[in-house]
Amino acid sequence: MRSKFKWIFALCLALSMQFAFAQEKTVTGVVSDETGPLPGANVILKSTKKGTQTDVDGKYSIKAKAGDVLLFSFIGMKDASATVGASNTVNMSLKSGDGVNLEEVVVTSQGIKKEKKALGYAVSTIKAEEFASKPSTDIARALTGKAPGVNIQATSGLSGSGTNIIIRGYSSITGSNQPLFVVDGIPFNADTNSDGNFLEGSTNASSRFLDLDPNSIESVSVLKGLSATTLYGSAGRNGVILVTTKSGNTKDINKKMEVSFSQSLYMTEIADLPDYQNNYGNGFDQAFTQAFSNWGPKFGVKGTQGIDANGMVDHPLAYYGAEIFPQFFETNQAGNLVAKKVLYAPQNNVEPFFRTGVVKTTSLNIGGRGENTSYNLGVGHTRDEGFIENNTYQRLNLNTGGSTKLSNGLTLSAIMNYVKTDKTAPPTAAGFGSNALAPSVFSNILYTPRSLDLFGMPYENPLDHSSVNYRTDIPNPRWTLKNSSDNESVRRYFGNFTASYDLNSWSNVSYRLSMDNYTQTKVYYINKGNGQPFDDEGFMRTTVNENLIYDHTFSYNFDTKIDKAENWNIEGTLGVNPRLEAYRYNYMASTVQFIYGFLEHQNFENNETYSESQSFNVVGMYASTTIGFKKYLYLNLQGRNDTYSSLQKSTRSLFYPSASLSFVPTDAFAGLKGNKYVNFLKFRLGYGSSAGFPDPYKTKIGLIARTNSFLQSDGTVINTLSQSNELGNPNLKPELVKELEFGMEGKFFNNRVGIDLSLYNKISTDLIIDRPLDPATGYDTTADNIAEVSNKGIELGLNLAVIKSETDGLSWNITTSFTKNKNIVESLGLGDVKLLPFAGFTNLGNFAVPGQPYGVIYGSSIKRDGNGNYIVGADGNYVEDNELKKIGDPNADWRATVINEVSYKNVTLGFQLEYQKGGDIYSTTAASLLSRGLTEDTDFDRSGTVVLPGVTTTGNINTTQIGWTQYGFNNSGFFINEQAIYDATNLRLREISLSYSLPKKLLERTPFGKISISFVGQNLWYKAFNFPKHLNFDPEVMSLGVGNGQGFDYLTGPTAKRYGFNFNLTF
Amino acid sequence: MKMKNNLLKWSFFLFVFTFVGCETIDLDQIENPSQPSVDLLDPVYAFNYIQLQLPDFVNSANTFTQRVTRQMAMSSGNTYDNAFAPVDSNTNWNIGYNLLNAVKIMEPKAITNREFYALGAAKVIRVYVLMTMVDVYGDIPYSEALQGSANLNPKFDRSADIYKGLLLELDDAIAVLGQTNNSNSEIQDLYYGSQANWITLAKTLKLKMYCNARLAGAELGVTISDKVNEILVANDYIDQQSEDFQFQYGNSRFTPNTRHPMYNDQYELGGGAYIANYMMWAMTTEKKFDLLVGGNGVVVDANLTYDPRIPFYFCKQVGDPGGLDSFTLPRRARPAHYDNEEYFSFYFPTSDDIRTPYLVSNWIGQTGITSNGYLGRDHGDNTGIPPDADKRTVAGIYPVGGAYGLSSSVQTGGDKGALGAGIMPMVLSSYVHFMLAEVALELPAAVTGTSISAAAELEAGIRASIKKTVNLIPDYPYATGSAPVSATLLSHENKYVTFVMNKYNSASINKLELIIKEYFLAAWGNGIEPYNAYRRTGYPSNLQPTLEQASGDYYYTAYYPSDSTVNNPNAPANLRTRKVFWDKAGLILH
Repeated sequence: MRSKFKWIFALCLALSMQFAFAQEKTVTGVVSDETGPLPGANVILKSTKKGTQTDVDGKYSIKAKAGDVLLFSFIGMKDASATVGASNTVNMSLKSGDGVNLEEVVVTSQGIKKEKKALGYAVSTIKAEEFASKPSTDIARALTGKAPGVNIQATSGLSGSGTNIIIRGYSSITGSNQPLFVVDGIPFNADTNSDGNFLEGSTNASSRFLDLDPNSIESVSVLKGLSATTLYGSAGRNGVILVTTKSGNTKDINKKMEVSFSQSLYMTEIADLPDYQNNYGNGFDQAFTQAFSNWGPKFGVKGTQGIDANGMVDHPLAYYGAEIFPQFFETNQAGNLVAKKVLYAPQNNVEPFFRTGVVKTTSLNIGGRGENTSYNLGVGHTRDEGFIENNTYQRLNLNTGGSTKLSNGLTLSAIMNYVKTDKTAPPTAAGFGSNALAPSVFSNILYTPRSLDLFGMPYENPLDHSSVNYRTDIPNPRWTLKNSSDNESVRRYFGNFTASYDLNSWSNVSYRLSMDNYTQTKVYYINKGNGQPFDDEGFMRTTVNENLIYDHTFSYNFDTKIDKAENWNIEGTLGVNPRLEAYRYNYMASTVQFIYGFLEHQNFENNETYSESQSFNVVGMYASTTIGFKKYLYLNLQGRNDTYSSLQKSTRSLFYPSASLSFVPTDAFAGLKGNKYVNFLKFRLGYGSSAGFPDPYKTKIGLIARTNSFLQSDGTVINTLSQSNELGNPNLKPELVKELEFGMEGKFFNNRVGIDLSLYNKISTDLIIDRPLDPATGYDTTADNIAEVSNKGIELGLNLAVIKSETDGLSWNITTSFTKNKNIVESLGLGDVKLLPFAGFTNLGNFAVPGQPYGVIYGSSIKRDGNGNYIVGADGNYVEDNELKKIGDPNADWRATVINEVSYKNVTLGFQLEYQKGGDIYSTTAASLLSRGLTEDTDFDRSGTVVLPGVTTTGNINTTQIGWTQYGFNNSGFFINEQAIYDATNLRLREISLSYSLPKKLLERTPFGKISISFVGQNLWYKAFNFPKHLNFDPEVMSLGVGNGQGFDYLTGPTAKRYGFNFNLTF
Repeated sequence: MKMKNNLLKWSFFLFVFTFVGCETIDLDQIENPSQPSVDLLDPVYAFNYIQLQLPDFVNSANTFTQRVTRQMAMSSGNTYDNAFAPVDSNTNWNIGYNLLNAVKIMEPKAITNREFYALGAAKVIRVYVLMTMVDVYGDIPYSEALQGSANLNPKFDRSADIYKGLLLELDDAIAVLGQTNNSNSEIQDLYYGSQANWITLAKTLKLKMYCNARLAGAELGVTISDKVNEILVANDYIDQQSEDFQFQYGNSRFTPNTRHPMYNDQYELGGGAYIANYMMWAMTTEKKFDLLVGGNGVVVDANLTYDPRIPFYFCKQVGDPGGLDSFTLPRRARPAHYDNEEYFSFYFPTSDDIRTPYLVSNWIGQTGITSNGYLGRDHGDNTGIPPDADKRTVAGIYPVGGAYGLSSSVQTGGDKGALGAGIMPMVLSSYVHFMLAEVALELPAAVTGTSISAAAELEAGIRASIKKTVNLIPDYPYATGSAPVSATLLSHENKYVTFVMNKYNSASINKLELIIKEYFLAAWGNGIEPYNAYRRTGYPSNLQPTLEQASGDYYYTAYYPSDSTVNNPNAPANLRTRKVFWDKAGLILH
């Protein structure tokens, strides 16, 4: 390896030998266009091809002799030239090119900026306005719907909860499908570090891109295809989200100094609650009991069905006895102490559980420049309160960056960020409509019996603070909210140091060291007294996760014309990129709390500890070149070789190439130049590939050592050593992902219509899956390269300037995006085995099945006869088919977004509508609300009987009558999984905003550059068409957490809506 | 300027090398720093692992077998179609093969180190696990199992072939245990104190296999009576309590939790699994003992005929569940087929009063519950769970290390009774006596040349079971007024034995069924033995039927686990009517 490094160094040194130092004078000047100085313009000495670029003030300085010709050029401008005369100053004013629109410059992989038209692949760029000062404090959520092909989904509406990002479908079955975040060139760890699995509430965990302050970001580029991400290596195989912060974007600061300030204030509420029925209360089979369900008597019933003659029932807490709750007892006429009665009547017992949270964000940014030096300083503070008590997310961001260009050609820049986040949230274990296996705040609240006055009674035992409820086997949700928490705090430092040295006018070498280091501490606890097994004694867990990424990039970059006629241009880069990723994990769990409410581990009787660490290196070497012909035909070739430290020697290295072609007919054919109808047209074709490496240490598995496995009665400690259940696979090799992409971009009808179309076909081969084994092999699982998954899709962006205004009159812009992705598991490579559960439960979860869409939901279904009729058992209920069958497909058929922007003078109205067609979800929320008879959907006349449509086991038409209680309780998804599956098709108003910026005229005499105020609402309205109407259920939840599971709702937290305003000020 | 330039350049490159050169380009990081390397495997600690996995294996086999034999209530479905799914067998299969793999992996090093004690004992455990799996599932992977990547789809061997292989393996284990152990190696034997005990167990396992395959000698290519006779004549098998093969649990609640799994389930919070009404009915009402039982289940009058095991087996949380509210006891009517005569008491088959239980253990007559029953669940009652966590009857001292003589809640966080320091019974001397009673009755040739007789073994089995039960924990806590008096216990034992032996000697009784019935009662806490016995003989024939009359086919074998059927193309189709080779009686079970 080392010898290869030396070889590259030698090459770079050889290329940099051609320094020329002649006796010349220094020519200076300012390059400008109609609007002012032009930074970044090229100034080239025609004779020697040496050149420079203008600085932020459009100034340049170059050594030249009298008589030399200087060439000036800038993207989108006509080239110009001037001859150096006696004067030492040459100023130049450039003009826009004929019929050529100012071409967009985009940031591509490894931070290389390119003209968009030279790209042979799709890049979506999202500007600051789209996500800064928005109600969502999570950068990813702020991007929802903004880029076609990118599916962003929150796990729940809780503040600080995780967010799942999938670009162009899932390409790995059991590996990660989350994209790489690169912030100012720093590979940024965006993991969602949860303790435990979804059953214990892993959805609560934050995704670490939450550490980014949307207000400090200048722009975001999404590299979707593999031909775009090849240079990032295996880490970029799921797409790359390139974030440029204001500190990183030192080039853009034109003014002397700019201070911008923004303040926003938003409210968060639960998106919606179900419409509860007010006719039936607690009970079963029309009799009043302390059931979980609401199949009790009709309200108003007296003297029957378990209701007293005066319409009263025993106080729900009376069964605790008079010693604990004397207030619920009275002495009757006979002198006996008897329980007080309460009226059997509907209560408002769910809505008060939720609150309106306040989200405040303040950010201040100062940027400016000195002579050859620019700097930026930013500070941001966010306090994001959720829609439920004890859910607050706070973040402090400090960032600074600067760049200086020395006169000797060396440019030094550095960026530093410090982030401090603190989150509290109630625990959100998966709920099943009865009780959760672990503390869970949402699992028990939504199905509170209609007749239980939850807020009119105590939630804790006054003697020992333990939970009290209408029955002992369900913790009071109010108690859970007060007594348990799942907290997270992060201290993070990330930054980079970059040095580049101009070897000559057309090449440079650069080195960048990036570091991202954070420590995430999670504290999870529940005080003693929730009445559940083991948790009743109290529990506390602290985990510390320290994560480190070191990334070095050494590159040689060049950009030059090849031939005299300057028709051919070649640019490129050669780089070496070693990266280290490491983490250290410490765990401590304590049980049996001593003093109630005191939360330190020494206050618990038993402690258990665990620790582990992991580290791997990927050394990448890459080369990329773009050959351009006359600025309308571009060929881009790239290749990267990655070597991974945790595979066996023979398989640890993989080379993967990519190539793309871009052709701009509107520049190529004279006939199309300046055309009124076709303003711009570009075709592109790309092929890309990438590697996927397994988690470390999969080829060789060590032993499992357990101390204190058992304690004999005489106190003898028994320790054990055993083999792992995982089988090491020494032949494991990297996954290979390949993608072919075709695209078309165009602007038509005087730039009123813009189209951006991409078609892609991506195939992941040698896909590594944690292949489950028949335990009879001695092992349960092994990592193996066996599966194949494909993604074929269309991404269509359409811009429509419905009304265009030259001045600041009325204008109306519509931006539409349409995404359709077909994600198919092509092969599992498991021989005759056709089912691989990879998320959820093994008998109800997301499965990989050859020929089927990725992650189809398998579970139990209603048994059918040969003709497809439902079979009804002798008890009048459907017979369950335990054999796993496909019961749903969580993948949406397609998604579309329509963003409207209407502006008149200084007022802008924007609204974003999103539609998802198809995609199934298994919903416990629906199952429990319907099974327990809570919503207006079940507010039918419950007397009499009903017959389920179907046939008996002998094939006759079913005639067995069942009560409405059975009908509702047994057929709403509690028993047969298929009955809890719903189509999640939905339409939502993702965002609506109204903004006003003060006219420039008013500001002319003030120190302010810009003042604006916006009112924004997010998720204010939605409709899931195929759910029972009164559930008001928002299917945009992911109870399996961030990862590969989708289409499950286990009551882990509803969605939120947010609304409020922001205020922006620059001076 | 030029020099400064060069200086800058070189210091820049030096800077790069300093960083790049060290940690980021180490490309050989194959082994997990957080796991001990495989070279560190020590047979002593591997054997500890095997010893501790065994009770977990039996416990996971119990969850299925105890429910289909009505020891515990089958409440996960109302018919056999929906009561269990392949996924329910995963735990048992996983633990089983994982344990077998641990035995395989320790073997080479144990041989090198001459650690024959641990190796031989591990081999005996291996056979016990495999024979149990054959008994529960029938054909299973054997000859091609445990080969790791060499064979990811092991074939399923015929159950008879596996039995044959296991008999040979026992000979091998006995030979290994016959060798002198490395004197420098000391093992922690959690079951016995010597290699000789393990040899006795190995021989008993042979006996157990032959007895179980009583009708299938041809499939094994042997004459069962000869083989049994050989073992009996050699007279080295488990026939006394000191030789019992059982796991002794501890009473530590946390770090580690060493308690009996059923204690963990029933004595914390939430009530735990229901005991089957049939089991409690068979112990009490079926023999008309329930009329004697008081609120705490303890009978102190030494003159009464009574099964002294009752209060040791079951612990009531409420004295009389008859008075519970309508929600605790569902309102649906007693199914008509529960009144069929075939489910009447075995001992009093003509008495109209002793019908199969319903809702609680002591449904009597046609009108319903009298007082002082035990609250369990009926077979196939999958209705919602009422708030009866502190009312259900829970397991008592035997075998879970629970409480004795209470009539109050044990939902108190594991502080009741013997704190869970019970046992996991596997092969007890009482079981062996019942096995011998069965072969003596059915295959008299097997006991020629010995003093063994069916009646004597039956009595020995009952007495061994009672002694084991009442003496399991010498100084257990008891509630006031329920103090056990050893003279009373002995009197009850004698009277109970007299009661049973009188029945046995009466002409009208089915002697084999009576033996199996007593075996069934003695096996409380182990579902494997009664599951085998039921399929071998069809007894007890009056097991409570499912609430839903059309129960579907019985589980003649358990479902293969989905972990196997989904991942191994050689796994046979899952049919409940598939039988183990020794299941030859052609019975229709319910």
